[in-house]
Amino acid sequence: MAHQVGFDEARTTMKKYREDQIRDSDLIVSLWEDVVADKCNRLGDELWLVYEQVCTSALDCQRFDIAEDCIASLDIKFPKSIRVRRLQGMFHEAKEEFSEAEEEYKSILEKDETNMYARKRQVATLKARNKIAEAIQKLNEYLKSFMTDYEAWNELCDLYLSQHDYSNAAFCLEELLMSNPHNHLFHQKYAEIRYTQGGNDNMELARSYFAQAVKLNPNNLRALNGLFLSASNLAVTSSKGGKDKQLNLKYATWAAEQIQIKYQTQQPEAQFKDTKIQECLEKHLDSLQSA
Amino acid sequence: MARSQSHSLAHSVPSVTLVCLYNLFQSVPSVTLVETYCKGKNLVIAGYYQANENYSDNELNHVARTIGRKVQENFQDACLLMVDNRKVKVESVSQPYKIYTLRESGWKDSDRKNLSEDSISKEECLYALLKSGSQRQLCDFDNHFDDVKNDWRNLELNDLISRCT
Repeated sequence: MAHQVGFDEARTTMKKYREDQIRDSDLIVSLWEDVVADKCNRLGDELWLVYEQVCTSALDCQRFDIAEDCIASLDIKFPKSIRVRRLQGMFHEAKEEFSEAEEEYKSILEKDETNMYARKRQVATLKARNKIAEAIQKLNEYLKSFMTDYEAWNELCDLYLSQHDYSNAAFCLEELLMSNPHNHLFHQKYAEIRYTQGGNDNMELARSYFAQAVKLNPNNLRALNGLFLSASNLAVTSSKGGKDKQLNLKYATWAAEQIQIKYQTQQPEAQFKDTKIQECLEKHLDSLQSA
Repeated sequence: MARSQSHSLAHSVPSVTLVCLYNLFQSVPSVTLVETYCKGKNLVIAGYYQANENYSDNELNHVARTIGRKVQENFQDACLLMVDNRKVKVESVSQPYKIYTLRESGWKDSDRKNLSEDSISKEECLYALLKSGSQRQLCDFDNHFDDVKNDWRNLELNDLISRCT
């Protein structure tokens, strides 16, 4: 896959993926194998970061040979390093050797009980074994000590969603919203949960939060879709009378217009016409008018 | 998975990939768009496929069953395809999914007939496509909602697949 890429380009790409935390393990493994590995002495001190990156990517792709080599090299350079031992634990996890992985993480925590990475890997191990209830419990305990870890709140939200426990998932998002009130993605996700829960109050909350997400980022198409759907839903089901229906119809129409403008201006004309967005939106709005 | 209404072939025509994990809310507008598109092309949604996040988990879950039922309401012979993650590898692909059909007692694993020559050539084609990295061109609705230029119809990729099989 990566044969045509030069060394410098590969190095820059890998660095970008590290900084932006992009997970494209296939590509990283390919860049390493085809381009970088033979010339890795040109990386200087960056080599150790690259080894770590390639190791985790190799584990994603079940390339245990590459992962093992990376860990061995890192171990020689940084003997007894907790960071390397975490990689060793992840190696066991990838091979589904969960007891060995658990041993590794326990011993890391004995040495350093504040190590958040090992604690999170313990949750990951439970998740991998499909022990979701225990993973939820463990993550809740973790968050009592590390309550500002927004990545963990997001993960806990997803665990609750997988169990269809929408109220607790919403609670997690509320924590995220309190600490990140300008993040349009959190507003959108919170709205989606409220929409899924259903009922008039939740639908109104959903509509408000979708609207806030759109206000924070007018390019958020998912939030526009959500605003359109929640307002449409309220226009039909709300028991608050005709005026409320008219208002919701107005919101839905506005959202539909924004969606259409987006598609019309950003999509090639042929694609826009063939996928019939306009027809879809118009049909939906017509059904609201007559409801 | 869409199928032409006027044909009764056992093979399906192109499929559309919806969304990944936890973003199930966005599957609502996605499915609506797909349905509208299908009507315009005289196609019908004939089935639903799913691959679970957990590598070892290839069981039908509540989501798959619910969506499957919805599809079945519009197309009686609807089927569910559950991808077996363990069988999808670049170096070999063999029967990477199970097919389920809806009976009175629920979704049941349908008997796969012995590998026909046709199935074998399809798997060889699949192997060739995976090896060349064609899967990286695939656009799902997540990609589409990130940037509407990303075409969930995957016309070029579907064309490549048709020429291959």
